[in-house]
Amino acid sequence: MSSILQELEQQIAGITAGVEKSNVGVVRQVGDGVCKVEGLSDVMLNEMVDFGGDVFGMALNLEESEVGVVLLGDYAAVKEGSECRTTGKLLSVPVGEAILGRVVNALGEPIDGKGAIAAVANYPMEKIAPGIIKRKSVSVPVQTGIMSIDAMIPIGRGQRELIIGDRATGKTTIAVDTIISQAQQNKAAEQGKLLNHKPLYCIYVAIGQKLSNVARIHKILEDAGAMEYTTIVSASASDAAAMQYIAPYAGCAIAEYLMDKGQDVLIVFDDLSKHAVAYRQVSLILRRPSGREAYPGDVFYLHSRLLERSARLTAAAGGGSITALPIIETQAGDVSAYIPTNVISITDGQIYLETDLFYQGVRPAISVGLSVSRVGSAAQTKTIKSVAGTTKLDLAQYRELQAFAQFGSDLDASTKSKLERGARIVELFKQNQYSPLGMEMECVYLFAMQNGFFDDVAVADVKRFQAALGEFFTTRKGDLLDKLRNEKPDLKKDTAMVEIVKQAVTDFKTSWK
Amino acid sequence: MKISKTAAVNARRLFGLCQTGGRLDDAKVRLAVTRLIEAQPRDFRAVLAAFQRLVRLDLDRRKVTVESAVELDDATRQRVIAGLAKQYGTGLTAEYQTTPSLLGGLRIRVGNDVLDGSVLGRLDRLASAF
Repeated sequence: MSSILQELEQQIAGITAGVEKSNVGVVRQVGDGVCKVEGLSDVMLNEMVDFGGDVFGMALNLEESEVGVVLLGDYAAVKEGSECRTTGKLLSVPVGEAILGRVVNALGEPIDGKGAIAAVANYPMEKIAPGIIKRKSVSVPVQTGIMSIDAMIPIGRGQRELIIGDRATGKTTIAVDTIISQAQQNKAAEQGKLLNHKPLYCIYVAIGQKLSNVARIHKILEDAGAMEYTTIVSASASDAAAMQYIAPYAGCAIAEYLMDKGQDVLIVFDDLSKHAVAYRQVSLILRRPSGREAYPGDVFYLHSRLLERSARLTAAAGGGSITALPIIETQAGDVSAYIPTNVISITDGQIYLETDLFYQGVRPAISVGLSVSRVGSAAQTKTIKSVAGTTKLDLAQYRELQAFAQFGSDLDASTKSKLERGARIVELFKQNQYSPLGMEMECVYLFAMQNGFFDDVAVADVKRFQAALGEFFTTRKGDLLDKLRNEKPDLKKDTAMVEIVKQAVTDFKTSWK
Repeated sequence: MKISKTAAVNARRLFGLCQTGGRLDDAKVRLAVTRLIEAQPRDFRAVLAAFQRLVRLDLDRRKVTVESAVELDDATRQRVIAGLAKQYGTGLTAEYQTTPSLLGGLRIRVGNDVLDGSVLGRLDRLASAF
């Protein structure tokens, strides 16, 4: 049988014509990163067009007698009269495990000077999101290491959670802290300290950012040892608008490769407001009709098709997931503007950061009232759920009663106690930059707060008490922490564990002054 | 020159009217242009420019450029045109060029399609495959 197969192959090879057919066009107009090409009669939408000399473009506008091609890469050599040909391929990015730890541009080319990337495959940038049958509901948490998020607005693997706020409110910091926390957990799992942990790889897509910011984040991640689990895709402010437009899709393609391998991935889009602006620029230059705020009509589709690709897959489909943390910058706290409302309606919840809280000293400046996670406690471990259950309610009541706080002595005992507890919770949730907490430490603090161990500590001393408590547990109660971390007991129903932890905290308190 | 939307629309209508049996009719084109220049309606220069572009694009679609390493004799030329007519229809205008760098074979451009069967093309494809 094999000889007949060989014969067949030889015959087929023999009759294959040595003639190659290609479709060409001539550039008639070039400027602003867009060129109008006459010809290209066989071009398809979003097809890659080759201008020679490593310059590529994407055919975005198919008109009656010409094609609008958006140029990617260094397009200084493209002139009127240049010839270009279709490639028959859609825009795709080289992917592989080797891309972790690297900094790449929107086309997947390395820009960190560490040499070429050994890619395993080419994944298309535009891909249809997984269908309904392939998806599974979100139930595994992403431990961000930020107490207020893990307690009240938990994020699960496969969820899309929007981080929204004004400029300089700490949006990028939340994303970076999450990445650092994942790296710490991945390392602990590798060393055997953390059991039953599936590693979470991270992709940070910087769209329209200052290069100095991207360099700073790269350094922070490197210093924290997080770069080996992270890829940075950078389309900075000096890159062409077309590169900023495709960067998030490139990041998503890289994430999809890992998801198809059954891995869990976290992708941060920083930020989508600049992405919408870049797309607006490309659309206006292509003379597409503009709508509200001069954005093109399909700016919702721009973000929805990007964010729908984040999903959690069933075991049959590989069991991987992509968690998306898109970031949107609002102007003057206006969440009802065009792009913010679009993205809020797409994502599964938002973390809303307020400038007022930031300047009051509450950092992370998360507004508990306006932030929501539509996945909720399904994405929390049993332990955290048991100790954080009433926190959101306590803070809500605190906010309601805050207006009466000025009356101080005129209030009844229960109102006073609610105010006191709320003030202490707010103080407890303040956290430093780039210092994410482990799940077991969060449990200890929240347990102590819930069981009244903080009630007799002055509000100004809460942080000191917390630090000392943390140190006490890390140095003397390492076994207990290991138990909490790996067994994840229910700290409400499991009376034995509750007693042990209560005893430990009481021990600490006796030595505290 | 700047061609307004109305001028472009009118040029397209004019182009459509100059067709006979799905093909551009030379006599009608000449008549249309002469009449337009006589009457000189508003915007006629823009209409003429747009019309010229449409005619050029249409003719380019049926223009054939045959490049070969050596001069082709008439019989070969006929075979080439006959072969192309099967796929692209009749009414093709052919132009023949001698490009020694091709080393052998033909490179034919029909409209926007380039059919590269030359030795140089095959060598390039081999080189890029590795």
